[in-house]
Amino acid sequence: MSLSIITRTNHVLFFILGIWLLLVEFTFAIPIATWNSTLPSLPTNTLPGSPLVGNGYLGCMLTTEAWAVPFATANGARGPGDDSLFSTHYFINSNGMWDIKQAADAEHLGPTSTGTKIALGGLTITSSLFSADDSSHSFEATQNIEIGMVTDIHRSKCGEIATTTTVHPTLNTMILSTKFLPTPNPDPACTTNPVNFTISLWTFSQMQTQGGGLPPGQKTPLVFATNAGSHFVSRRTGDNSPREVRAVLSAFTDIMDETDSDSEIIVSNSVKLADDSNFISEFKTTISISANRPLAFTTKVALADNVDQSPASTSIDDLTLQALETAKNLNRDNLNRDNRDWWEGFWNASSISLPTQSKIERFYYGAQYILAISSPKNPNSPTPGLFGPFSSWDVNGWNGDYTLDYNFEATFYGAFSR
Amino acid sequence: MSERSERALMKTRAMRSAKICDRRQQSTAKLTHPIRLALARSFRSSFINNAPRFDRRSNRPRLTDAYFKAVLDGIPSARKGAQAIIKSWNDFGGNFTGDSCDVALHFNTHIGPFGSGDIDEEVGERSERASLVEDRKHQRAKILTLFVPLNSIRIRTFFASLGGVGESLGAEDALEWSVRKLAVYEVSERSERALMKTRILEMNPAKMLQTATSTTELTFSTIFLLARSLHSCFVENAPRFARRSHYEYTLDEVMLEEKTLPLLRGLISWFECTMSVDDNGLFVDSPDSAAEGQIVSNPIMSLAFLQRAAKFVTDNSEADEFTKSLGEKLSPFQIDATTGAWLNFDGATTDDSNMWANYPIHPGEYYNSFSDTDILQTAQKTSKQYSVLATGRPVEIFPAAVKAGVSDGQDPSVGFTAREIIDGMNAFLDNVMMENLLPFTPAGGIENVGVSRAVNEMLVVGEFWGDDAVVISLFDVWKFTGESATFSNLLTKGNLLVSARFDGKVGETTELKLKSYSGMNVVVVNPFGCDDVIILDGGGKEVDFEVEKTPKGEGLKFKPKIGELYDMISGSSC
Repeated sequence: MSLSIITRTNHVLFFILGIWLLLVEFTFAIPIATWNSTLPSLPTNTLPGSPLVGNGYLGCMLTTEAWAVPFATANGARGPGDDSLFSTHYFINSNGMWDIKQAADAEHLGPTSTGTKIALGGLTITSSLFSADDSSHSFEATQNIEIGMVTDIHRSKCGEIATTTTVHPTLNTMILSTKFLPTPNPDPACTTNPVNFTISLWTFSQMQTQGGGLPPGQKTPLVFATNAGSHFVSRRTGDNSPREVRAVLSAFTDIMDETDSDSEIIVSNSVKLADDSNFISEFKTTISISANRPLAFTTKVALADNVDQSPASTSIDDLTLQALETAKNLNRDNLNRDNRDWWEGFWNASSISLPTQSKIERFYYGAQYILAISSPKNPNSPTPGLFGPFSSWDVNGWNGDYTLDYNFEATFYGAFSR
Repeated sequence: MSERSERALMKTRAMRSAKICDRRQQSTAKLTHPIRLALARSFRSSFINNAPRFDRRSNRPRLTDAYFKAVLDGIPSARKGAQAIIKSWNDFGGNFTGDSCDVALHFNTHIGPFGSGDIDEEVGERSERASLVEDRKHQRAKILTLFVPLNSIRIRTFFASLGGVGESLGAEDALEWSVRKLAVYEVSERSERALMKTRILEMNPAKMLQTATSTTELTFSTIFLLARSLHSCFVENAPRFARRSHYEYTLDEVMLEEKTLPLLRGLISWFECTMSVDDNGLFVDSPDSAAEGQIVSNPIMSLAFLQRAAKFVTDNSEADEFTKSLGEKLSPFQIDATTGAWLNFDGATTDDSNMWANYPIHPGEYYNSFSDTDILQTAQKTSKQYSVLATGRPVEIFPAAVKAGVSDGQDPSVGFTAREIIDGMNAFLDNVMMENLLPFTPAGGIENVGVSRAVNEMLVVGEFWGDDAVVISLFDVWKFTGESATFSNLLTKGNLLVSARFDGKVGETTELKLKSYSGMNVVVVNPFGCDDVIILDGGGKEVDFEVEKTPKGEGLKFKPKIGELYDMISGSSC
């Protein structure tokens, strides 16, 4: 309510009305989920308990603990960014990956295969700021469902690295904004060496099954390499599939030099393709800076796929480039505006307040959030299966499937009255 | 009414007057799409000239004979497809010989309802389960109903398999069962994507056939086209309780005419074709599958669906005689003499039954909270009998428990109390809610967001009332907790937004605001505990209302203007 319309004669009434409106219309507290230590590990064959963000089609799961075999490296590090124990992994998936596995199964396993939801890939950010023996390291994460944002913060005696992650409400673009703030007057040991940040875009190169990968020759090929500073990874059905379905993640990183420092920023790119002993393929951007200067960079990850074959005449390559271009043109202001507008509209549609039943109220708002980030806005997009877009692995309980009885519809039971 | 809605309504009236939904006429009408027509033409003589006639006297559905004759005669590759299926089954570790019982065991053991991902875990159980089924016909049915797909690869695989093993299974049973099961499956409006391949097929079937790289694909395409062409009422091949709900909440006439009614009519007609008649002249749905593959007679899930679907079609359109009388002629739900609760199927005991006995309560909505006391009490007993609130399947049992209503003030043995529901929900959340606010279940868990329906309906319920009104009741369940609650803009059936506050200390509703987007009459069960009630329109002017009796007490009926906010308050004498 604007203060300008409050007059001396009726300001009391308006004040009362304002309080009433607040009570009736807005008396609800949208909960924020927080984690103060390591996150539940990924990948998992169940729904993850980790922070989730998404737009109904593209989903992102966050973890500090990527444990599975494909992530293991010789030195025991736990992630594709194998130069640090302190990594944050953003597993990315979409509802459309279910279709990809269908087609892949038809080729690989024969027509009796029933399909399952498979993983897509992810992005990992690591930093050499945090060494394995740094007892000062701490971590926290939040899932802010009011604005559809996940934040993770690593802290140590040398500085703080904070990343906020959002997914555009209608574009399949994920945006990660990372800021590094060195500790003022740090321990001299902190500034001995430059700080390296590694942004790694990765995917699985083979279908992961309970017995390991599929036989040789049935890898999911990588179809792009780096291109003008952008990275691409993909999973797709094989050449002999009845229909090729492909999903491509593309990523690029903008470095925002917001300081007057003379110290040089060194950026390098590298590619690590999977071989038979390593299921992960990844593309890395490494940023190297002096340890005593702040840094901000934004990484955008765009998803393109040909799941719905629409428009049929557009190749997946073109779709990928279009998605990448859209992501590049999406500036922070536009993103914030679109995100704010969408989530405001979503939360203002209705509300409940159960003052004495905080747990149920908390669940209720969480349920609305999960519904929003699992259900596509585009009616032509695949509807969520058992896992929505949040399967992190190729082997999922009940295949992450559309199942019978009531499961499929149940997701929407509460949607009509909300 | 929007221009689009008006057009849809006019279209509906025209359809009704022409009785265009006569099944044969509609089948022919749907063949006008040039591509579909071209594809169907080669089979036209097979299924149009042998138009389906369902001989209820012999209890034999004849619908599928023509399909399979056409497919098996017309497409030699179907047999190759069958060989591929058999080979793949055997490659998969089976020992398929072609005998239908062997197929059944193999299917149940190695495929099951969930797919290959569960094989290692469930193979033992499946084998045991399958071996218990002795009746050959039921076993055939079980094969097919267990392997009911919604994802298209399953559909494709399934139909392909029928192309090959149809003869040994009994082709007519095969397709019959598959389609029926698809028919009773409930999906949401958003689920169209689940049938992606189907839709691709629909959009460009010629391309599909031309580019099919396997006989599997080809067989599926062909059979599906035939099925669609022949029975065009079965437009989207998946029923939509959710579509029904969508209409009831939004009164979207376009959705009603274009999606909901055709679908429900088609589904009813499928059951009409397949049900038999018992000595009492009642329709019997047998054999059919109870939830997750148990083959029984008159599963309550199907009966509840048919009851509700028939009522919906009758209430919202000019229904045919069969549909109008279906509710009365369906076999009744079985009730356990000891517990007074509904049973899952004919001859079932309480031990045989389970959570799915709740189906008439939710999501079937066979009744509502304004129904007769006898039905409400049966619903409450059923909910209590089969629902372990803390550890059961939450998305079914909580909405059912709330919809059944609470037993506060009655014999507490009848049903759950409001406190039991609230405590049960808290216990459930204690058990499974993760830090990210998602209740965990081993099989995914996204579905658990649907528990929010139970919360909504503890606060407000709305049902249609007569021909021209929606009746709402506030805090039906919640008020018995004695705790305060507020909600804003929850939508009820009849496209009515409701906001209200309940003061737990005084045990009364203290605020109520309404905004109708349909203009239907609104009947509000007086929530104030006092006869002195005032309704104010958006300009603060008093609105006239009538008093009507409802099963929940005095109802205040008024005619709202579309989009206007009404404030209902208790008068000064309260």
